[in-house]
Amino acid sequence: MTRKAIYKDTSLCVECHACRVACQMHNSLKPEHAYIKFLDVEDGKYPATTYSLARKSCHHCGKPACVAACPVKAIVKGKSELTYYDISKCIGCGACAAVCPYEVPEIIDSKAIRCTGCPDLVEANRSPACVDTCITNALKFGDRTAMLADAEKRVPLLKKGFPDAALYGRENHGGLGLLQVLRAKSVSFKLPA
Amino acid sequence: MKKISRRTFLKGLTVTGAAIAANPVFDMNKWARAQGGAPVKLIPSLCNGCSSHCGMWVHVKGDRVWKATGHADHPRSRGKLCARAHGSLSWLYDPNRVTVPLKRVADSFVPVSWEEAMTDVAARLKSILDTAGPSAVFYAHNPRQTGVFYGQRFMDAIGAPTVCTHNAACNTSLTRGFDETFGWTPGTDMGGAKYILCIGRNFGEGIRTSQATSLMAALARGTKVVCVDPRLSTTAAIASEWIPIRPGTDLALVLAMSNVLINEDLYDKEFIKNSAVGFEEFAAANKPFTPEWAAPLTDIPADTIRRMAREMANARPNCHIDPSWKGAFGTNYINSTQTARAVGLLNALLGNVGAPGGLTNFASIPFGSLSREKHPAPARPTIPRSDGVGVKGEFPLATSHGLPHVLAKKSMEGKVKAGIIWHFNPVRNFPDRKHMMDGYRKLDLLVVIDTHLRETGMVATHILPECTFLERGEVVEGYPGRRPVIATRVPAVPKLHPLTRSYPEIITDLANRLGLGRFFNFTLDEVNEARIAPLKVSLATLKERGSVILDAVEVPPVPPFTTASKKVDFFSKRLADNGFAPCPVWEPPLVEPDRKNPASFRLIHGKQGYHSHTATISIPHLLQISKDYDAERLWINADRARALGIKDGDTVVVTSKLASQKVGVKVTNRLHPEAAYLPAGYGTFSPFQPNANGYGISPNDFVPFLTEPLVGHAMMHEVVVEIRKV
Repeated sequence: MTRKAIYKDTSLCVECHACRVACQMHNSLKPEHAYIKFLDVEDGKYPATTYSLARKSCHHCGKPACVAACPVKAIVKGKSELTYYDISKCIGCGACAAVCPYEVPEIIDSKAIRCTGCPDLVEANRSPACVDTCITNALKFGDRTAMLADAEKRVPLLKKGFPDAALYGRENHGGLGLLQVLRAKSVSFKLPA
Repeated sequence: MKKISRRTFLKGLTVTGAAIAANPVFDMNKWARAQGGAPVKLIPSLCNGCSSHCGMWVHVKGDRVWKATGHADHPRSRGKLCARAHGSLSWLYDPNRVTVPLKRVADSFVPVSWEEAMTDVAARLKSILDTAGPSAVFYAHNPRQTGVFYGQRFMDAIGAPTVCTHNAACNTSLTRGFDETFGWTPGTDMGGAKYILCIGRNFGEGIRTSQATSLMAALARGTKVVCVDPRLSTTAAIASEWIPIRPGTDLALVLAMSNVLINEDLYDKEFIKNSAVGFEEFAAANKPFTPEWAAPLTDIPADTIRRMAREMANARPNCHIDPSWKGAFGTNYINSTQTARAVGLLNALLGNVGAPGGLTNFASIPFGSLSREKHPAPARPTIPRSDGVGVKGEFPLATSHGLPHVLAKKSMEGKVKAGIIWHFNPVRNFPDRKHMMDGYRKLDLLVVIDTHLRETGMVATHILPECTFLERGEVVEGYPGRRPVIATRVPAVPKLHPLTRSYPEIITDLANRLGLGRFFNFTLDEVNEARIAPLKVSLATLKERGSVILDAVEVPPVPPFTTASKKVDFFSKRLADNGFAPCPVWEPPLVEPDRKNPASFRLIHGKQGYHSHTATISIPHLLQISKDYDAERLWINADRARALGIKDGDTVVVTSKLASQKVGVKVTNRLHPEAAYLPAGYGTFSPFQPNANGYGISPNDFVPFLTEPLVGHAMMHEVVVEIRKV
């Protein structure tokens, strides 16, 4: 299997949270256990205001610190090179949260709350639940090279209105499996450069 | 049997008892592990998370509903589902469902058998019909085919004309405005558009799934999408341009854009010549409404108004102003109906009706109906409606969707004595809580049919427990288009609570008890077989596939207009005859904030993409989104907040003539300074939704009972509030 990636074009996202709840249903999660959250930046003074979004969820690092840190192998690198997670193995020790450069995992009810990578869908050549439901097609899924090409085509179009628009995730931590086209600087979302 | 005190409702206490499901809170993780290897069945259905009823596949694992995915063939989902669709699955297992019939006895609700409940309902209804006549009875629902068929037929059978929907708190201005202009309310072709102007329409938060998909596809392709809105909504945030506007002045903008098209000779003369009447009168009446006139009213610079008009003229006919829902010209302002008219006419000036990227209107689906020989249909009653719709001196031009808020008044006056309400919550979702509660409580008989005991149920005499949408079939729905679609629900699982019943079962039972069973001598399957007979699709196929795309239909280049003139009416004789402006001219909003008072704001509201009014607030997965982001907060413009010493996250008191309530504040630059914005889905006060009860506040508590003169809607933004830091 070639390396896969989720690509989020944040310039098409309306923050409807369909991805979050589709994920929760697919993975049979409690309401408080959200694997997908949003980061937002409001900028400028009325009426010259902009509002931009980023996704906060597992970034599926090419070199994931969490995989090495997990003492019970609840987090593994999958065939798709997404980071798979089996919540039933998790002992809630917080080792993954301690090493995650993006501060993604939260420990709630003695479990790490983080993306599973939807291995059941991905390995059957289907999109993860979040991508499948996305009502604005802000989320896409496929071979990472194809997703990178899509994302890179989008950036120059956005730069006209948003000079800081950029692709996030090409190189970070071995290249991310969650690629995002952001309209605002990544640091404004507290995403490490 | 345990009694549930009605007094405790009003104190807002949590109440438990045999009446509400004794279903322990379900541990999804535990279940998922246990069911890991169980086979999965896919059952086609239609979502009930909002009234769009998107097509979905319900995934049933073992004996439980697991998740849902979008139905690719359904025109409103096209393979996608929003958060509400996923969340609404949990209604089935909600421990707060009503599971047995309840009857009000003095100040309590008492669980009773179906036999006792229905005997009592039938006897009281018969007595009211015998003494006060059928005009004293109304029916109200959210209008989808099952209710339209069974509910209307029942009302016809008892001779009662007053059938209402939620629309007087939603979109009756746009319906009337467009009907007076084209004869129908148009759709749009977003795929073919070069320029889309949304005035108050917020596709990302007032979601119909496929519309959101289409708009963002247009945006991704490079279509110019301009959002006029007092608020930088999540749609405006990703649009090509946000044009902030002073709330209630959209009519001035639209008139001024029309003025530019006429003055600069940019409109479609050919279309106007061939397809319109009354253009000269319109142009004459429009003369004063220049961009310079509109600028100080709307807070939009004259040059911007002129530029927007010219850009649209350049893009015509492949452009449109969206016909919208509620925001700017649905039911919020006294000028909403004329705004809708003006929007229709601005589209007509662009000559876009039937053009690629313009307005659309498709022929309805040629459904069949039950054989009249075997199944005699009752005649439509001819006595006047009781809510004033179509009545001279009241609301002669109001729509057939009725006026549930006027019914509360009629009840207080003793003119209306009984109501049947299905899955609809007017007491919470119309303005003026006391007006609605007092009016509906005074009814001698109020039968509420629903899965949950919501605010309207709190003042009912009888609650009849309904099975959820996942446990029932439905009358086939139809979606006109170039490729029309029909769709239905199939029960995904057997009834979880055996004493719940579907709406057709309840109505048929009631008709039988009133001696009207001859009008209901059929099954739901027989209704549907007759309905789809002309469409060359078998019921078995439809039940297997859920949504079926029919053969493509021929679409005329310009859909026929169905106004009296059979053309686009720039001058409406009917409006003139009833004392209203025949051509849209400026009308100011009913109320204005006090500009000298730094604490004075217009209270406006809107939807969030993960809630449908107050219907979804108690869904745990959706409520948790609100909690995670403090999404119930009131929005205030940053400069206004600073002047009042209010900081982000502070608590404020919001006060109108009706109410004074506390809420947290979001201080933002995303809002016009004159407006305070509340998301509309909060402020539930039913104790039977204990997880949501008391979470956030509702704009409806601040807005007085009002009726717009033309169509009688509730004018839900016509309220001024004072906001002060606690």
